[in-house]
Amino acid sequence: MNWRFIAVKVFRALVTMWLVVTFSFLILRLSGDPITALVGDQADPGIEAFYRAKFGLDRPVWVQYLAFFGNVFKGDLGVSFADEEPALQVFLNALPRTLQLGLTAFVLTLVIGLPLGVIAALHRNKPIDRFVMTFAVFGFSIPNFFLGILLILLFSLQLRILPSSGAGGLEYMIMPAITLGTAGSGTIARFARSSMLEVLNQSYMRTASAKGVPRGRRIRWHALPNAAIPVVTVVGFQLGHLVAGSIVTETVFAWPGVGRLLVTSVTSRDLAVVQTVLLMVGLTMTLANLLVDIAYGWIDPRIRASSASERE
Amino acid sequence: MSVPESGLPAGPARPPTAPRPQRALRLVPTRMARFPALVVTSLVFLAGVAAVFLFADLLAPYEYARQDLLHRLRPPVFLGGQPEYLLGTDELGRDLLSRLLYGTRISIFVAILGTLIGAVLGTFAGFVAAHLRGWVEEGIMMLVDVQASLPFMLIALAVLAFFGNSFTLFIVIMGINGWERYTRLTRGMVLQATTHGYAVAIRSLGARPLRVYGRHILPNIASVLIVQFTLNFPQTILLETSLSFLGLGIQPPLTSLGQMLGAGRSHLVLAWWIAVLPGTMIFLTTLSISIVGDWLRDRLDPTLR
Repeated sequence: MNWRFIAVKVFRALVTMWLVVTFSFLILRLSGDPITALVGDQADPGIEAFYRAKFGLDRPVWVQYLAFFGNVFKGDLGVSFADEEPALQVFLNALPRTLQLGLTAFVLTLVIGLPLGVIAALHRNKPIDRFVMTFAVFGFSIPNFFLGILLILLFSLQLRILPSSGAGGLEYMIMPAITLGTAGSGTIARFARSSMLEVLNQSYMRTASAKGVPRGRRIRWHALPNAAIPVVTVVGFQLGHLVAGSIVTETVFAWPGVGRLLVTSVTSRDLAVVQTVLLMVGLTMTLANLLVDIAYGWIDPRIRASSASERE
Repeated sequence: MSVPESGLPAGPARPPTAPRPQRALRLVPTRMARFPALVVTSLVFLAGVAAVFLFADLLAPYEYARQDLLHRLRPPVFLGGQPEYLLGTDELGRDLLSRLLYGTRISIFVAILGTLIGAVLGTFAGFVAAHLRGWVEEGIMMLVDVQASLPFMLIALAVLAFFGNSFTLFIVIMGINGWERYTRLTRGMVLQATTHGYAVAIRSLGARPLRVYGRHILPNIASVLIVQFTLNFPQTILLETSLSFLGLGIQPPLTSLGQMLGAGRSHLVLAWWIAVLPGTMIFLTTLSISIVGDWLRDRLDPTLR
């Protein structure tokens, strides 16, 4: 049963990856003739044919498609025309900064969001609950580019205590991490609250309290593990928001990561780099989703058991 | 004819729950307390936004692109500016109030159109998947999974990079954002509804599938789709403003809230209000929609209370 569940998920993930690669191939082919872009439309037909043969564009489309797959596996993703470096290398150079910022923001999201949600649920309809929920709604309604600018105005231009852009020591990371983490912590807090409330209403919670289990133990051992299950999926979804959010946040704070690289490459139409970022992020996200799915099945045995009848 | 009509109110929108009278009694005070303050404020604000959307050209004191180079970077009135430019001017001496009104109009227009396209496309795909089943359904749901697992911002940026920017393409991109949620919801609910008594009854009366879906099932699942619409709408606004903020969305001479904010970023030191005014507008709009949407969801979906 367990293996069947994982096999279905792995198959889905492989199809998604295949679609991501196909999408990035198609989009490049549909966007116009790269040779015309290279030599101009006034060029001598001989020169055009030479370049066409050089880049393998004289072959049938399906051969090109297969060759593209081969290149993706070899990690050969073209050359950035901005700095003449392999596109993959350009991507890898920017990656550590993004991971650094993204992981910090992710930890911030969980450390703020989870306790707030649980506390709000335990004090339902009390002022603290209202306060947490207001924070949550504000948190995910404020666009991160606007939050970033407000932080810059306050801490860099008014108080002059934090640098407004660039990367360096820890002080450079404070504002980007807050900007990136706020929306997520709002979402997580809300979700943790509703998930916790649902569990608190279950009959086994009443049974536990009738048995005389003390409140602290009831919450820690009966409620929290059950409430955690749906939260895990939302945490998984949060990864996607983190990737999207880092595109904007890195641009606002001139943080030299993948997000900013993507925006500058789109602006200068450095297609090889855009394609590389699309592929790498797409494949990573698919893998991350697969792991979340498997983790989900591992935490909740009921899902493993029902995977066969997953689509009613 | 009266048979199907009587089936409507008993649909999934309002299942008769046993403890209803007691519950209603308990809820009346809290609902009265919750309903007015925040929700009414949000609704009033949204009505204002709707008015701006409809009458921006009448409300705006100036043409939004009119330049007045002798009065550049003027502060708003509440910061000591002159009354002729209520909210001040930008780096080309364009009236910020007029730009704010027109920017709101464009942003709301793009968001409405985008969300509508997504809703229609997604709902249609959901019906198709539920009706045809088999390989078509598998294919559609596979696409749904793909779209749900990738951040759409990434796809939007890739498309914009490869095809360049045009207003039409931009609207289409906005429309593709979020379709998969309607598909997932519609497919699930249609599959469920076809086994309900009312759908079976209409079909045995000889109604064709199109009629069953359009006249009977769609009205029954509409409330859930409307809630999804209100959830999606602010996200479309955020996508539009984010892309425009990055300089990859709405292009000059058109203006949008995100574009204004992006342009105002280079004047933070001298004239912070150029960025903060449109930012506040975006924030208040998405906040109001979230508040109203939450309230709607609580009202329309009794299982969540």
